[in-house]
Amino acid sequence: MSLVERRQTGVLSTSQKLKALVATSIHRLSGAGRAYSFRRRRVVASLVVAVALAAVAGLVSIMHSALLHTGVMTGWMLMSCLVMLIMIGIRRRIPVLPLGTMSSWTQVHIYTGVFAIGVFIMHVPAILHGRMIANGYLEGSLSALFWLVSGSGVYGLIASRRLPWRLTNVGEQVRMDQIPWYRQQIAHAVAEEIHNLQNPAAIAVIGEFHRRYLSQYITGKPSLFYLLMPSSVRRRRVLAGLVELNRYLEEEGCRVCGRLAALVRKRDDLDYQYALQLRLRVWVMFHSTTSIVLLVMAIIHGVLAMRFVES
Amino acid sequence: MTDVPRGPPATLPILPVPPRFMPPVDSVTVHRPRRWDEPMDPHMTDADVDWLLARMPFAGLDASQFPKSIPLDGVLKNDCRLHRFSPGQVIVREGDYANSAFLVLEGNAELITRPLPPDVLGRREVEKRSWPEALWQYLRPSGVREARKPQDVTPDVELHDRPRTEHLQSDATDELTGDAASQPTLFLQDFAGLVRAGQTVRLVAGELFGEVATMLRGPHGATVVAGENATLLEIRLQGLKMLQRDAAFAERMEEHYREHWLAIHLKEIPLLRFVPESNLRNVVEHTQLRSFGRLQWNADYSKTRKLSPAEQIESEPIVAREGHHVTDLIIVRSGFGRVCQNYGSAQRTTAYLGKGHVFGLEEITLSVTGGNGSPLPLQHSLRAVGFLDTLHIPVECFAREVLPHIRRSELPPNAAEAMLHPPKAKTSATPRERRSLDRAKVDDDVPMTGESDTEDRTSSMKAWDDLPSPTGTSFEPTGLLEFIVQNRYNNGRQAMIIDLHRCTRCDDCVKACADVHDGNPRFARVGNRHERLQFVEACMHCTDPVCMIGCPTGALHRDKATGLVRISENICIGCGVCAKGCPYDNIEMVAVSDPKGRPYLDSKSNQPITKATKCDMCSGLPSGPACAAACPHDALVRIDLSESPPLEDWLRRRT
Repeated sequence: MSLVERRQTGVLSTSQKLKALVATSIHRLSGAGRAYSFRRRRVVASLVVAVALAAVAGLVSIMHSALLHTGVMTGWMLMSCLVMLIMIGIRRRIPVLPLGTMSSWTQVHIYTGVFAIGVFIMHVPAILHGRMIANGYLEGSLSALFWLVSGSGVYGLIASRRLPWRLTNVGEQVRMDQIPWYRQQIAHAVAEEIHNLQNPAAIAVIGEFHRRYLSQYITGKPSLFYLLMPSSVRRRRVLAGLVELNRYLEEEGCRVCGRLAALVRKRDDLDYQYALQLRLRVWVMFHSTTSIVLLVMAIIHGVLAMRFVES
Repeated sequence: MTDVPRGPPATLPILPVPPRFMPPVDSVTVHRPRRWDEPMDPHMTDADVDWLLARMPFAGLDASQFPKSIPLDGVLKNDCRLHRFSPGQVIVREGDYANSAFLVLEGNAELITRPLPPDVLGRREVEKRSWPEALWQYLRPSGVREARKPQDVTPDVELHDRPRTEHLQSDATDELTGDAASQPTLFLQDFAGLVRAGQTVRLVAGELFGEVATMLRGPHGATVVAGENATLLEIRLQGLKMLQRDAAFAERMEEHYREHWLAIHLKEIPLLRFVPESNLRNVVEHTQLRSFGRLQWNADYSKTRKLSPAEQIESEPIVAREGHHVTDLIIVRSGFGRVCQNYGSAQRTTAYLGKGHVFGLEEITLSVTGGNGSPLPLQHSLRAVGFLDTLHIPVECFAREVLPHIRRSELPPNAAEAMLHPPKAKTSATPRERRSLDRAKVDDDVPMTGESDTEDRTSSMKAWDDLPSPTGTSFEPTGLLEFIVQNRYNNGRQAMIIDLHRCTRCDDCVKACADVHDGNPRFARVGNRHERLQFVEACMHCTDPVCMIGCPTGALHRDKATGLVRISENICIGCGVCAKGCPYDNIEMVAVSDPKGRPYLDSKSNQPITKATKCDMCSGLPSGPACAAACPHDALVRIDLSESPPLEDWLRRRT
């Protein structure tokens, strides 16, 4: 296009605008032109998995048409995937060797897991017939376990992305192993506040509140329900109770109540941190344990299946 | 417990305006610390000082140039130390962080012109372990806290008790202080062979060395070994600065720097690398050397970091002020500078500068080329963060000698554009030629199809990126920059940053660190926080490693190849100067034991042997830093904060 023509077409046509918009969208979505970004990594890895699954599906379809048994091929694929997925645990335990970064391993783990789910669907005929669990005791429990591990993996992926946000937004960053010590410090501070009360009215009112509610909250451990579903219900009730006390107290007593309320908030933040950090650790333990069980069962299934195939 | 009365007594008289300062009723009187309360060498006598004053260069100094509170003889008595070295004894080692300069008084010293192997200099370099070795050590931990092999506790070089400093003209039997006595002395083996091979340069009486490294807070560039009858005066940095009050002495030092070092330093600056030698000589002649702020910035650090950003900026010495005419190109020689701009009623930080960075280039180029039509005043202010040492090249000299040799791609975009299209003065072009030029300019300005739209969108996106983001992924210009400068994290070359929005608090990083250090983690996951970023308390291998100042043995040194700050544990005497000096509290002193768990004790004092420990970036491992490699969620990074682009890129990638 000459310069004159370019000047004449100062106003872009709709198709050109659309083209530019599409190009920009692809550019942004893929993160192309920028340095290596998480978005770009996601897009590229998802594409690779999609292409790989399409290739496997095509192969399965061809083999099926040729009246070949596809189960062996998909089974070996699944077994390889499982071994690959388990390897991350080994890498995690050997930090001294240059075996690649754990973040690269995690990415490989995530996308291999997604690929394995796709292959599993092709491997288990029952799924193609509308059932999630295969027939038979071994195969049934194996497929149930596979879904359990996959489900926990998906949950873990979401949790490991969402929970850090929630943890960051709760005040101070506390290490999990130090939480019991911090709890103890708070309990000491509360006990000291109560001990230092001088005014008889404050001693009576705050003392009773401490005996009946506060001491239980401060010295006790969070309940299992709280650990599973942390909420601010207890904190709000205790704080409301402390606010309620103000009408029975002198100025100094009110100040003590304010300080106690701050300690209650601190304690609740600690419990919240504890619950979320515990959840992440329990998840890792659960996912790794079930994965090992899955691998063992898959090996048994594989041995049996190969005997059947050979016979 | 002492009963301290709280609050003012009820009977205090209330005065509307106190006539003069009155001390509060509750006060404790103490002796205000003074300069020279602790002299460098308590054994320097008045006779030593008189002897020094009778010799050059001190005989030529003008004592009236020194303030009454810090007289010349006081400087010599309190900031200097006399040494008599034995032949072959190492005076300064290449790579050691310089803290003092040395003046040869008698005899001679030999400067080794070639680099010596680390083991010859008493350092045991960390060798990379092989895979099997690393795996074997990992699988067989000692199970003992801070276990060390005997060869890691004591040096394997020839060590003697330091020979007594023989004070000239003094018969007093001086005893060394405990610190000095415990300093090991190193003798260079086959020193005579090096001299014979012509691999040394002789330094004779009257010559000063180590002053450049001292003033720049850098490492010594060469090893210097004592020759025959070598008597030297060690002048610590504070004394050196004071001696520079004498114009002749300062001039002599500056001349020495200009003659030997300035051209080398200028040549190291990327912007000046294509400047021909003849031009560089002129630049060297016209360049001015200036210093701002306080050298021992780490002493004030704990106080200044608590100030608000506005207060902190105000407290920093100003180097160049926004709105003033640009007179020099400013090059940072050492230290850090804050670039800030007036905004509303305060100033906001827009960048920070480190060694080798320049200030005022855009304004100078635009003024010289006339790109703006008139001389452009400074668009930003430059302030010294802690300490700043600068080189100033006058505008005329820069325009004449340097600017023609700078690649256009290295100039700021506006300046490059101005160079490319200087404003048209009255030319001799014919009207037809002028019309042709104008047309070409219009053609250049016409955007390609779709370009304008995309460019508009991109520029608006970029502008949007400047806003603080709730996710903290943008490198927002003020908050994060000011946080980094305020906490002096810009000193870090390997700072550890954790993205708290990705960190699941699994502590795999700490566990990996402990695993590769025989069960002793070299950091804990704690540190200051700015929004989603946590700046972990782990050694940052600083650009200006103030921890090295005062290390009496040079155990703390910078690795020349990697730039990492390392500890040679075998020569670390456990004095703790580094741990106290580190402004970030990233060095710990630990008592060491043998692999069986038996603590090492000093044979003389029966006290435990302690060693300084800190993050070593896993330099002995084949895997590199284990902490960063162990993070499964891309949350932890070791990053260079001495410049903003690495952090900016890292944050941008997290979308």
